[in-house]
Amino acid sequence: MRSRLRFAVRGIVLGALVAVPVFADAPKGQYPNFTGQDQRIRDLKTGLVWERSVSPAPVTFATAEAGCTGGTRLPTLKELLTLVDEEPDDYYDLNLNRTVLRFIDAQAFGQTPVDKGYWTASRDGTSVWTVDFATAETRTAEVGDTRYVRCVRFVP
Amino acid sequence: MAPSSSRRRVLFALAGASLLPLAVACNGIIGLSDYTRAECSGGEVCDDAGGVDTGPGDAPFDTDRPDAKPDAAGTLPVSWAAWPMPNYDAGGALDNPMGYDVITNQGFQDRVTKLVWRHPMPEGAESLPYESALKVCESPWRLPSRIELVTLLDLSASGAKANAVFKTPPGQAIQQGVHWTFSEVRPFDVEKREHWVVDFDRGGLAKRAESQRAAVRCVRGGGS
Repeated sequence: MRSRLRFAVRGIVLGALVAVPVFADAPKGQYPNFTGQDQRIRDLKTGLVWERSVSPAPVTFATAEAGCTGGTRLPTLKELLTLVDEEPDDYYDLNLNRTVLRFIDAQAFGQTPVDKGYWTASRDGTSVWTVDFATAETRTAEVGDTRYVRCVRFVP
Repeated sequence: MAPSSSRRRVLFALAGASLLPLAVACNGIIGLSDYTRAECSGGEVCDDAGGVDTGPGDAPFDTDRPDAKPDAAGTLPVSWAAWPMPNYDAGGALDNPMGYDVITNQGFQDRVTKLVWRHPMPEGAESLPYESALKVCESPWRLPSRIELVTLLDLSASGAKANAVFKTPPGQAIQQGVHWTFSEVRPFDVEKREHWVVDFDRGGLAKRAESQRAAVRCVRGGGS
């Protein structure tokens, strides 16, 4: 009984050792070490501090602008494109019942639904630029459309 | 059994013993050339001799990261922004500030990214297939990556979304249309062979197959 317990504990420890080292997809020096509790991540190269959480649902552009508070704002198109990881991670979406690609660092920004794009602050006439993290593409959207929001601030 | 052949066996065994003790232990006295994995002398299956299984899917943990996986065309680097993105506009309505210094006879150096953009580009560089674009950007020049070329987008501009410096001298309004980057559209489809291109007419990104044509703007610097 005792040895079986010890065996189980050893298995858990070994499993943890194998599973815990989590590498960001971004190169070394892009993001600092982070834990699951961190609410935002500073990109050490760009100086942009990104919220790790996003809006719980897609919202209109006006709601998106109002939703970035506490010194944060909507990112410009060029800023949001720095979050794109050209090498996608794939995961199996149980709701969609298929594999979904995500063009973003899955460790740093795991909380990134990709069924819709993300608003930027950059306008194109009356439209607004958005970034689709399911394809790494850019698209324009009308202000009444709904997209997700990830807020940012620049800390020099 | 000729004596010379038994001496050769001993030599083989000695050489093998220094390099592959496990293989030798398994193979016994037969020649190393007869050795195949998991098969012993006379075709008998050996007991597992230990060692690291190097079959597919057993890559060491570190190379199993998505970014380290080589694609069918060989690995091309995945680029990340390695420069600050200053933007002091609290509302974020303004685009990130852009500024360039002239580097005589070469082009413009971006004050923020420190990348040097070739200008003017040689004639004909406004419409080339990918292979020719690579040739135009010979050393010390190279094709820009996706995120590098995105920094040249000027979304505040009306008309072409390019910074005004790339429209001089007059008559060389080359910074228009779709421009090549070396960044592959991943997962790389060897049939389509698509690269990311930056669209300076409308702003934003698009995909383009290598056989199609696009404009070229070479760059150098970047540190990495």
